[in-house]
Amino acid sequence: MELKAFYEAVGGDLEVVKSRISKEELIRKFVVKFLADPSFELLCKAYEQGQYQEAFRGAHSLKGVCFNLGFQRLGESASVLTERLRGKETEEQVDKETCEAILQQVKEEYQTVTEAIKQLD
Amino acid sequence: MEVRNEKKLLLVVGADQQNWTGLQEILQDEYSIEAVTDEKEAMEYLSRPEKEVSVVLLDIRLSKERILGFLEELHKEKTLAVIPVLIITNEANELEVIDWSGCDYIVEPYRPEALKHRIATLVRQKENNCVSNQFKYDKLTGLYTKEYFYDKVREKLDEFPEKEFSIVSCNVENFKLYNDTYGREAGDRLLMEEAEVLKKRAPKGSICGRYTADRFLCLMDREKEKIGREYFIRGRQATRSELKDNVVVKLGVYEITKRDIPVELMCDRALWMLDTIKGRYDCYVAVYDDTLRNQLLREQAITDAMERALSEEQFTVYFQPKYNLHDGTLIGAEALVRWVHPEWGFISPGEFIPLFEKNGFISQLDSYVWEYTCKKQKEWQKKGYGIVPVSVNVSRIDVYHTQLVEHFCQLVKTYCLDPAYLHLEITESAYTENPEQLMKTVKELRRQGFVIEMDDFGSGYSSLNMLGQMSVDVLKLDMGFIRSEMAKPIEQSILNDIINMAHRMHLNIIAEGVETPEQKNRLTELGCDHAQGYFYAKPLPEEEFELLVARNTEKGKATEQTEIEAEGDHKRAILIVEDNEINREMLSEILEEYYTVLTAENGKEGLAVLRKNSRSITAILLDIQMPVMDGYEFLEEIRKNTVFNRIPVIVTSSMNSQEEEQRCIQLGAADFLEKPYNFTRLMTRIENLVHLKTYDSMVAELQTDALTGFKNRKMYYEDVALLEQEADRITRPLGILFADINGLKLVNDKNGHKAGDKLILDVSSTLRSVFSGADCYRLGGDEFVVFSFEDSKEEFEKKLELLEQSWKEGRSAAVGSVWVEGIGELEHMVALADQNMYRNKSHFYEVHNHTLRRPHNNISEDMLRKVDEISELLPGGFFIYKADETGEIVSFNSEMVRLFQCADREEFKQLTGNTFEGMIYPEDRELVQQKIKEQIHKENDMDYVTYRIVCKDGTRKTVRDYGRFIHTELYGDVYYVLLNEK
Repeated sequence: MELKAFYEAVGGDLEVVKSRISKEELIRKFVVKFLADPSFELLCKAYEQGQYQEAFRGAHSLKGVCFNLGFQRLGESASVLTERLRGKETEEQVDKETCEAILQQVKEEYQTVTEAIKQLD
Repeated sequence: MEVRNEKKLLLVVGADQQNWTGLQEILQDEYSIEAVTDEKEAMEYLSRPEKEVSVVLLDIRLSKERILGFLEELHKEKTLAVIPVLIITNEANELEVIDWSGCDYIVEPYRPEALKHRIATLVRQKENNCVSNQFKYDKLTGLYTKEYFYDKVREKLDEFPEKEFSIVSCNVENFKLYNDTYGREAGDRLLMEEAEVLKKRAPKGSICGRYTADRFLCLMDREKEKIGREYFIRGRQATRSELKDNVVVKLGVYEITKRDIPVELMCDRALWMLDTIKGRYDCYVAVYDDTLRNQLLREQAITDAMERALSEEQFTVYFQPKYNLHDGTLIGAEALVRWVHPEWGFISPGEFIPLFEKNGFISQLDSYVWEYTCKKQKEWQKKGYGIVPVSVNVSRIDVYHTQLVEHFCQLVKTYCLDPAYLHLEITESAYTENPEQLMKTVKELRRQGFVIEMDDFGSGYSSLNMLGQMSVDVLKLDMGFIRSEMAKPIEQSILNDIINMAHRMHLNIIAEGVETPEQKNRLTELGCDHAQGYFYAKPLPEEEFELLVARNTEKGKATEQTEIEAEGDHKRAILIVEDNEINREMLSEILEEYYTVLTAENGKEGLAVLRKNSRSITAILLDIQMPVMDGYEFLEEIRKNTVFNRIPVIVTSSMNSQEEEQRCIQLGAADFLEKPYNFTRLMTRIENLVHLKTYDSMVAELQTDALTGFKNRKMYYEDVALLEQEADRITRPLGILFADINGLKLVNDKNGHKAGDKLILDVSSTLRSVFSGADCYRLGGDEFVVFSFEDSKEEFEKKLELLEQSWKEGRSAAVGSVWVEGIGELEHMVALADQNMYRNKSHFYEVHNHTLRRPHNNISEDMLRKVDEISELLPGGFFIYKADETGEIVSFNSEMVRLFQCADREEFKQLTGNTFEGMIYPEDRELVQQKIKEQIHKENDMDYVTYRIVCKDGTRKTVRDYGRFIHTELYGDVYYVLLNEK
């Protein structure tokens, strides 16, 4: 898959990314690195264990990386989740139903992105 | 292959139908043949460049007047005059035609063979004409060719053996540049125009020719020539077209005194003169004399000898040691080439180096010195000496050598040397000539670990502006610059500012040509790092220098070690504190090209890195959400540390709310960088911030005593004035303390300045800790004043007691104090405190009271002047304007003038109406004001906008404006702004 097609697949726009990071080879280099980025894992694990502050950090970090790389869709979902988790520490404070729904969405989009990366030429 | 001979073209003028048919029949097999009805059409036809007519056939029936007119016109045009004309006449007119010059005739009725033969002869004649014309006349300008010019001059000189003549050569300065800029055609037009001027203005009887390209030659009557020179320059100014405003013509003159030298040599001498004034903006005419001839002969001799000198190793390398100004340790050397010729003896480098620079031999010689130096370094290393870095000269033409980086890398590889031991000196002017190429090369060299020294710094004029963008590790101050600085009173010296600025940019400074103890002392005082010159040592032959290195090795390798570390320390660095690897790498990727990038995964690590490298870090990029220690805590730590809090911090987390942003700002964050990262914007942000911070600390420095950090004498006077002015509003009583260090002079003399400085620091830190929050001043030398506002006299007395107990080793200073309830005659009060000190007892005056409201950042007129000077050092445009409706510009640097393409400051003022608004392209004005208003509020005094400006010539430029809102004493609220072209 070419980089342009890749960005279409993950709901981003290669041209927009290029306006910030001029070289395609650089973009590609960073995109591939995303597979090793621990933010997503941190988010999922921490959420499962009820450590919501850690989960917040994971989501926040995921959001930042996604926006930087131009993974618009995943970034936006992560952003919504970040806001839901901001300042939450205990079980009671978290709106679990909504959070889980968003987390599910984040997971699906993460899946899409990582698979698309693996298919990059 | 058979070459098809193209048919020659004949033009028949004015023939009737019958004749025309006849001519056609006879000639059309061998020639192409065209007819026109009269002489006017004929001229038109001939003038068309694509028609190359060999012979014109003219019918006599056209009438005598018209034919003569035609012939005259034809002969006026040099290119047409070569075309032979054949008149076809009849017996009746034959006699008349014989007298007409410049043409041949044939009488009707003619025999076809005779006509053919006649025409064939004429065609050959035309060809001959053309060839000789090419020889005689320059195609483009119509002036004589070089060879024909020589012939003509010879003729003339033979004709007038007694008369005095001059050879005048002239050329267009930077013609090649003109050609490159405006294109070849424009260049040709310019030359044609110049030739016209020459023809018109040269005195009658002169001979003019074109030598090559833009060089012209002229033989003139000597007397008239002198007037002619002037005339010529003025004459061509009158005919200037607007394209050529900047075209400068120069003259080289040889006055012919001896007739026995060849004309070619006379011309060469006139032409040499042009070379001597090439590039000199103040010199338009040069006249040959014999001194110059001798010099040229000498140069020729040197040129003839140089290759052999290199192969016979007549060149040797000397080493001039460099020393640390503060502790006198040896820190390196410069390799200098020396030439001892077997016959002529010692030849001054001042003589041969400029010559080699001109003829290109310098690069061979440079290479030789580089290799020689490396070889020696290796030898010394093998002998077990702790070697010191040696700098070698890299000439300007070396920089354009495409393999330069490889060459150096290969060299250090061959001799197994650390590149840090080979410093490369590149002259300042090379930096201003072709910055792009140079930057590229230098950047790469630095990446490979070589240390770059900018040689002759201060000898040019534009370098200060460029300092910020330059890729360099060490500034080497020019000898002449130091001398002229020494001649100035210290307060007018800009050396201090340059040194401070360089240090802030993490550049090392070395002064060259230090010869006297006075120079050494002044440079030490100003904080210059290193020095080289006869005061320390002259350039030494290698054996002597080797002894020095050997001795230095004895002294221990510790010195050497710290030196290298310090060297490495001088690269500008950026610290990235960010837990996410991808973000970290993206930032590194952008910044690596310009900075040394240091990274940390969290605040705690960040602080550790900061402690190690605080001197070299110019900015910090900070993420907020991090494990272990987050961004807020990190900011908090930094704010507490007086060294760290000078480093600008850019927060790289997206701010989700106004509160978050405010929290960062309150903690001292300088700016924000929103995600997603934009590579170019990031660079601009950082550069601007660094510059702004530099500016801020420069202003602070003007108000501060360097050693103690107390306010200086200047600030003392200003504060006194301010306090008195605001006396009515001051409600709290004031305790004044005067302190004088005991025996500072004695300590200085006996134990040296370092001990003296330590004593001063002891006293000042004691004062600071006892009177925390009070205004402390060092009036200079050993005198201090403290203004401490207190709630009661008892509190002040308590502090005085505390002070007595706090003196470290016994009593370090004598103090006297005054208690003031109501400000007035403050200087008198301070004088009383001083007197009380002598009486060594406290004495209090008591009057009434008020509160002092002190505006921050107040800048006096005096300081503004200083700010003006400093603003010249900033890279890019800088100006200050009033933050009121007028937007009046109160100060701007010369880069602003350049940016707007104005000739001088006055023109800039006129163009902009001396207002901020006047600078901005009208369509952008409203938006700019609005944007600034949005950004400036209670907590934020900085703004960042982009807009267009209109230059003097009407072109538009987009600029970035980085502004800061401050309050000043003299102008009230103002913005000060850094302006860069986008």
